[in-house]
Order: sequence, then structure tokens, then C-alpha cells
Amino acid sequence: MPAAPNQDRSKETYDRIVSATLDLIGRIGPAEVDHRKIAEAAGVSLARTTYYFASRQDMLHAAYERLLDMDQAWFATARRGLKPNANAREDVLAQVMNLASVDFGRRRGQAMACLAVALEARRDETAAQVYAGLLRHRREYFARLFERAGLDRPAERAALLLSCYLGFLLRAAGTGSRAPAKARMQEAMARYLDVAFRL
Amino acid sequence: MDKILAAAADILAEGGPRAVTHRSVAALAGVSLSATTYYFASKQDLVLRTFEWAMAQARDRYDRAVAAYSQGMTSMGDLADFTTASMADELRTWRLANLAWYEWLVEAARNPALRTITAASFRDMDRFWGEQTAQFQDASPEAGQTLIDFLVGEYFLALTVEPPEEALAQGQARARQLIETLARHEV
Repeated sequence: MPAAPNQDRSKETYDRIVSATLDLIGRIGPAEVDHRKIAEAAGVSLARTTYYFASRQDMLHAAYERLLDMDQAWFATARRGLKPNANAREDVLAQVMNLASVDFGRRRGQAMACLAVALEARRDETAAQVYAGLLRHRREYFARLFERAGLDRPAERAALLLSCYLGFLLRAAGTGSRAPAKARMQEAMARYLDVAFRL
Repeated sequence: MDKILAAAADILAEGGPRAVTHRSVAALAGVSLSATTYYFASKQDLVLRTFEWAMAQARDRYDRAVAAYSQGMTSMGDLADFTTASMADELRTWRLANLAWYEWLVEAARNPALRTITAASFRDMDRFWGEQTAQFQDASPEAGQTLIDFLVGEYFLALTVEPPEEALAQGQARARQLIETLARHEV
């Protein structure tokens, strides 16, 4: 039986509110997010936002869960796209660069939301669970890349790469007025991989 | 003044920049509200000077730590010892100060007006770690930069992942591995 139109519409409204919340978390930070700003950003009435989410915290939690779902979907797609028997070193670099260009490109808001969730983790149980998932996706993906390259101890190499990658992201986001140049990103990622491969 | 700034840094670490107000800082520092409004004209001024203060404190801590490293660093092994020891000190004794730094960094990612000061903070770090790694001929010129990038990420993980002691121990083990690998640079 097809869903009733008003159910479709209400799901769409709900989705719009959650998307707007996630977007605002990335842009202004969770502490600044409130029903009024979200209603404005989502283009819905204030009453709609309070209807779906009684509290600010409910709204933030729904957005954190959405972030985790989107993150999982991205990494699942990236894993499926990996070609077998690719040239090890160049291929790993290409995949890491792909992730970096997404984090600094169209998904910058999402990357910023990930950092916000990390800082919220010590104050909020849902944020802590979502944060653990975000870290797991990256560790597993990096480990898979090293495994494909035929290296032993993929998890150790992945953990090292993750710390370096995170450091680069934090510095570029916190000091730069624009995304770092591709050549600079490539130089940095190649340096991290050099260490990870020789570990 | 130091008492007010120290209290403000703790609040910044616990609740983020939004939690830093003249009122909350006065309460924690145990001074009157008028004392904080006398020294700090606006909330923006208060938060900004808190960060500058925390940065100067960090600079002193690192410089003192190197001076206190009695043997002097003559090998990459010494650098690994120094790095893991300073990780433990920073992430235990100075945990809140370090958290405040990251709260500020992530805030700067949202607000371009704050990036002049975060950039200055990274220059401090580049200078410090650059000097430590430059002493070793066996390290490549980029080794210092890789070590900094790694530490920025590793400290962040150690401050945000539970339980903290486990995160610290893992971070230290990784730091040692990284420095040993950097030392085996093949030209």
C-alpha cells in the first residue's frame, strides 16, 4: 500500500529539519544551534521543529545519527569502488587523497560536524557513540587499503595514518581561510604514507 | 589576573567558548563580577585573551621541559623519550589547557576572525618541534612536520577518546613507532 501523501510530506519535513540541524552544527557549532535558527534554515515553521523535537538535545541527537549514517554510506561506497590488484602505493595515495578532497570540498560541513561531535563526546553519550563509529569507519577503511597493498599489521598503519590525517585536517581547518592546495595536501599525505609503509 | 585567566581556560575546556562569560569566570575564580568586567571589556576580549594566555603558558611549559631534559637530546631515541614524556605530562597535568586549545581551534574553523591567533600557535609549535628534530642529521627535513601533524591528531584523540589513560598509552606507543620510523630515513 502506498504511503499516504501527508506521511510523505511529514517525512520530508522531518528530513529537512535534521539536514538543516547537521548543516548548522558544522557551520556554527552545536552550542549555538536552537529551534529558531533551524526553522529558518530548513524553511519550516518554528512549530514544526518543536513538534518533531521537543528539546534541542533531541534535535542534535537526530543530526548526529544522520551524520553517522551518511558517513557509513560514504565509506561503504568507497570500499566497493576499490579496484583489485591496483598499484599499491599510488593507489593508497589516490584513495586517501580522494577522502581528503571530499573532506575539504563538498563535505567540509560534514567534516566540521565530525570535529564538533568529537568535542561533544565527553559531554554527551549519543555523541560519544557516534564519534566511536566515525573513528571506526576511518580506521577500518585505512586498514583495508594497507591490507590490499599487501602489508602486514594493517591496523597499526591505519591508526598512525589516522592521527596524521586528523592533525592535518585540524590545522588546515583551524588556520586556513580556504581549503589547502591540492599539491600541499598530496605532499602531506605522501609523507604520512611514506611512514605508514615503512612502519 | 592570572587567576581569572586560569579559570576562564578551565571553563573554555569544559564547556567550549560559549560557556566563557564574565559571570561564570568570576564565580570559578572566586572574584567579583566587576573584577572581570574591569579587566575584560567584552566577552570576545575575555575569550581571546584566555587563548593568548593559554598559548603563552604552553610555550613556557615546552621550553621548560626541554631545558629540564638534562641529558640533552642526541639521538632520535632521546626525542622519542622526550615526546612520550611530554605527552603524559600534557595530557594528564595539563589536560584542560589542551582541551581548551582544541575547543578554540575548532571554533576558529567556524570563525575566520580567530585564525590569526591559531596560526600563531602553530608557528610556535613548528619552531619548537622543528628545533628538536633539526638536531638529527638522520632525519629528513620534513620529519619535523610529520611529527607535528601526527601529534596534533594524536593529542586530539587522547583528549576525546575514552578511557583517557588507554588512549594516552596507545598514543605514546604510536609516537615511538613514528619517531623510530622517521629515524630510519633512507635517502
